[in-house]
Amino acid sequence: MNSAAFFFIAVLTLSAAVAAACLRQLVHAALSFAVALVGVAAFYFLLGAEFVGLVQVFVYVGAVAVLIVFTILLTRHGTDENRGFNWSGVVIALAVLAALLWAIMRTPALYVAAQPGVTVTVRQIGEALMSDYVWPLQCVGLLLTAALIGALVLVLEEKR
Amino acid sequence: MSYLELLRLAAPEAIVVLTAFVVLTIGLVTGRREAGDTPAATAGLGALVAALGLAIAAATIVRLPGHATLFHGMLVVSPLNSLFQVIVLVLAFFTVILARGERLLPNKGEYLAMILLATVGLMLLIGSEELLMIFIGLELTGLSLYVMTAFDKASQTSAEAGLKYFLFGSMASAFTLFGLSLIYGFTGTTSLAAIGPRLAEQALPPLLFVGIVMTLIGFLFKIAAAPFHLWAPDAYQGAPVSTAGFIASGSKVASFIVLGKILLIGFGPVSGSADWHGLIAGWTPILAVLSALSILIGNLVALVQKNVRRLLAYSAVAHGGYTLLGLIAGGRAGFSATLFYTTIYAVTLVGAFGVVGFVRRENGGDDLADFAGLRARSPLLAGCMAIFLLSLAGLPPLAGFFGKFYLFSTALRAGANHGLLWLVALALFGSLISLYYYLIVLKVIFLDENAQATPAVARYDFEMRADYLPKMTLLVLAGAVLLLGIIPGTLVARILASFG
Amino acid sequence: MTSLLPWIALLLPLASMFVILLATRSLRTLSAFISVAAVLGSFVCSCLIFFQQTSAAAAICWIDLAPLFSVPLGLTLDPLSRSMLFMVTGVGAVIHIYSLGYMSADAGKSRYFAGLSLFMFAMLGIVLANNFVMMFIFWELVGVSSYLLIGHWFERPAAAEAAKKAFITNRIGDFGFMLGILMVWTGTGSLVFTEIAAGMAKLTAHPSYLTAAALLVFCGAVGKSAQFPLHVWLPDAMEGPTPVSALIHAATMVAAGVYMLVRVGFLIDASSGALHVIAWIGTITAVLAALMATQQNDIKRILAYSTLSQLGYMVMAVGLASGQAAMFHLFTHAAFKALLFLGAGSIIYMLHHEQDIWRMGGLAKRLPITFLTFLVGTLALIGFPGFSGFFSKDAILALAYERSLPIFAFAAFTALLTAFYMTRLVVVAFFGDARSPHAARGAESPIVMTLPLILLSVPAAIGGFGFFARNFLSLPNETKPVVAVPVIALLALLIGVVSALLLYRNRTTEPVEIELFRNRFYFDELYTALIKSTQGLLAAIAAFIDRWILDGAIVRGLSGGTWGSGFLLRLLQVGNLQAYGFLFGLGIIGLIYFTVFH
Repeated sequence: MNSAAFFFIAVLTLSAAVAAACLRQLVHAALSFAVALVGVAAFYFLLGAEFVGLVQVFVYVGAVAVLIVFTILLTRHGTDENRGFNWSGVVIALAVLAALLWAIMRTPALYVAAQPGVTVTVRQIGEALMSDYVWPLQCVGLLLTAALIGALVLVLEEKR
Repeated sequence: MSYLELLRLAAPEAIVVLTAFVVLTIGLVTGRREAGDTPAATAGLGALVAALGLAIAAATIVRLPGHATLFHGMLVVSPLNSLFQVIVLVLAFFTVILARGERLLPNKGEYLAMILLATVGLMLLIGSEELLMIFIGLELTGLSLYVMTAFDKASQTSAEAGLKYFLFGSMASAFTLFGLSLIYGFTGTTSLAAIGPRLAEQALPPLLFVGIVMTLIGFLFKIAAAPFHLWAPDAYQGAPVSTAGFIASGSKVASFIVLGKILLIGFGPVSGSADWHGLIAGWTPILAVLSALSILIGNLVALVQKNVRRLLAYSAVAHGGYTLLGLIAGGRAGFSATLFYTTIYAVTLVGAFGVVGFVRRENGGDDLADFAGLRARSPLLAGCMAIFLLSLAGLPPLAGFFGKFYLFSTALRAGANHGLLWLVALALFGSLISLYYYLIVLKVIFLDENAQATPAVARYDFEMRADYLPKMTLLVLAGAVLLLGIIPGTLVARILASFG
Repeated sequence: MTSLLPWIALLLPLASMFVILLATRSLRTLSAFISVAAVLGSFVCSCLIFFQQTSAAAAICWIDLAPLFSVPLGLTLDPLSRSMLFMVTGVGAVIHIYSLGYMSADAGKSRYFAGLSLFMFAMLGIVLANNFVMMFIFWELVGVSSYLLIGHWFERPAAAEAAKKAFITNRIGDFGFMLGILMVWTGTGSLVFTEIAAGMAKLTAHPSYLTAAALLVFCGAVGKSAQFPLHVWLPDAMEGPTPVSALIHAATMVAAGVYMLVRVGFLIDASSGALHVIAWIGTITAVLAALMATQQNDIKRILAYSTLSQLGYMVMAVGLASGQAAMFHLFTHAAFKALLFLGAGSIIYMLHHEQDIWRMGGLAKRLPITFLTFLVGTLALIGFPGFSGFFSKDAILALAYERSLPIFAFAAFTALLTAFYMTRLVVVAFFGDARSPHAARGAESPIVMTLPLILLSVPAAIGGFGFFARNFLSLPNETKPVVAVPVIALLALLIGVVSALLLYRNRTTEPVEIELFRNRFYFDELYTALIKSTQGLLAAIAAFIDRWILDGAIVRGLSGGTWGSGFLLRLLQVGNLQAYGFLFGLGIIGLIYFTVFH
């Protein structure tokens, strides 16, 4: 893997994520979040998983992030309270990070080595989704349906 | 594998999904003519269809082949899975009936549909031995339950409870997903049956343990083990009563069976030991610590609750702690003890929340004071509640007694040299404390006078118009609690036999 | 047929309870007669079992989890359970008949007799159970029925409170009992008494484990038989109807603890450490209760403390490794204590629920039958030579003399106190002038109540003689009769009686006031304070948590529950959620660190 590219993308992704958590203006935070998502997509490309990378861009950057931005623009009515910085959250995040780092350092290598040089085509993915993974695919569809119904039910205003 | 084969094996799930859509359609077609409450007739029709669908699904499960595995464990039909899918369907069935007796929610059709979708989620959880599907099941269940919790739009507490449940549920899910990805990274497989041998082969790196812990978090959240229990009191108190009952029963049963499978099949080689004088790293000591914490926190905090639903929530935390004992003990005996206990607990709690629902409908609240003098107003409800609570306290000959005896005896037997004695003693001590607060509720029900004497009309209403069906259901549940206490062998033998 | 007899004896009361609850609830008198008929039926069965020497019936398998454990549904019939069965149904029958009179006007008569039937069922279950699980189930059932009967007059707050206290105190003991059962089961792999006895070798290999298990099992008896420090519930239980006090809280249920100890004697006797503790607990109970009894004014409470004290004797005997002596005293005590309670009930009934002995007086003339039978009971209790109590108490004293002199000294002192407080009771209540209008007008109780008194006074009087008692139980055999023991016992008796006579003859008020005894060594106050402070502490912690996490939560400024992302955003800013999140994260970190760095 190209380590220079890796470090560049990593720094970009991480700083965008930190910005998303810290920025006061919600719109700015949402846009930073989108950048972080793009960074993750870049990792996928770097790893040779073009399909996943594309899906990441289409779904997360193209749909989710945009949806978030629209939601914020449409529903916020200018209340911009100044809330204190949440130090307890930082402490916890750092503690988790420390534990993870320690564990990663102590762990020699992953058990399963990646198979080199195998490129998976979209067609193969599609075939896998319709054969071996058809059951989870259906269930994810059901999951999304349930989420949709639930969201509608909750957001619908009651006519009183 | 052909699609036809898949359809045949997944028929129960498919039936419940179809029923959900039918119920949804009924609600849409007839429900929104008048603003506000759904007409009673529609609600009745919806509930009838839902109950029918659940019954048909249960019948279909019985007719499935004994053993079948599709897609490396994504869909597994086995006696154990079938048994617990039927149990979950039965719990959902009772929930649907008791939801009828509840104050009519707006959008009743959607509500019933969400119950059914949550049930499908539980069935997926139970019926898969593969990490990916388990996660999808977890999410489907979770999402449906979040929505159901926030369903009562007239109530602020419902909205708040739903939001909290959602936020922390997502957080727990995120950790679980991260953990699953680590497990996959180390073993190269998502099938539980294949993970076990892989784990046994290698020396275990610390990161793998991190993965295991993170995987567990989602389930510990679902069973409300301390310190991941904070959502439970709010959700139990704020959600519509039938939802609270379903969260406490169906969701718990499914979570325990999946947790058991993951731990015993998947993570079996890294179980470790929680013996008093021989702690060995693994998941057993983690569960033991959490179990002890849950028992202590749940019981102590329940002592000072003034709201019956909150009290039940904290006692649920404690019961989660007892139930973990079986998994800590491990093996077939321990797993079957856990499954038996969680089943009878679920039956009991559905009933207890049914009574709470009645009282809430009558008095508009579910604080201890609202239960005052229930005996005089409805001896039936008071009697049922007494059976449920005393069973929770573990008083023989009710089901809770044998459940605890079974759990504790397996735990004591499991640890070499009685290593788990400390935990069993703690659990017994916890159940001693629990009797005290259950008795407080019973004292209010049986001895206290009703302070805000309900007007005669309301009382008449309460006694006469209250649905016949929900009351019969409560009676059936109370009978089941008694019967499972007197002849527990039937269910235990079934569970043991289903291990094959 | 004979193998069915014990089942019939056991199930008749249960059937009676169901018939009363389901069918004859509104027909109060019929309910009463059904219950009496059931217990008489059980008594007849018990007699047949007793005199035919029926032995064990076949056990049915109840719960079979073969590799782990199996619980049979079996009854045990050996000399011990046969005679206990005979005693329980006999005393039960007499007290049922007595209740016909005592509860004749009570509005809750059906409920009362249903409760009595449930109690008889549960008590017979304890007696007949052949394994720990069955015994524990019936053990709890006895607790429940006792709870219901103590709280029979639940409109009275004191009765409801006493019922709760009894229940919870018993559960504390049962907590240990259950743990003990589990430990015995883990050690021997069986729950059936005979199999445990056969597999004791596995337990004796680990002496400390055995001692712990035996002491935990003993905890059950401490609760049920009201031994120190869980003795506080028994005096309060006197809030129940008097026949209940006689049956449950004097003759049978409280003796169940002793019976259980004797039943598992093989376990207890195997651990000398446990025996030592048991003997001293019994001794402490005997002395403390006797001291408390000297300063009580309520006739039932005096008898209650005396029951405590006598139970202490029995437990002492168990601790001195002589189950036979314990059972002997249990039998004679059942007869004379039931007699005393029923006599007290007769007085209370005729005096319109007057229980203060200082408001009685001169009753000897007005209630002659009650007086005479009460006197028989008293003489038996204080161990007057020739009466039943003399023999059984003498057996225990001789035992103590042989095994442990300090315990003997305390036992003899208790005997002195017993003679003292019973003489005080008799002198104040039956002699002198009537000190209240009710006492002046009292007359003898109806025949249905005096007949049981007369019936019970027979065994109370002659029950101790070998020629009589030998038919019912195996008597403790004294190895070498010591002259010193009866002499000291008689001396104690004399001192007690004479000092009480001198002190209380022709008194109208209490001449000595000892606050410490009157207030029962402040045990109740101590426990109440303990519970209160614990609960207060918990409430304070819970309130703190509420303020910190929960209260910040009340969603401020939210109108009418409209949903939307605006609401969501506002809620996110509430401190509460962050506190929740903090705790959640803390939990995760704790887990990870615990696992990784362990």
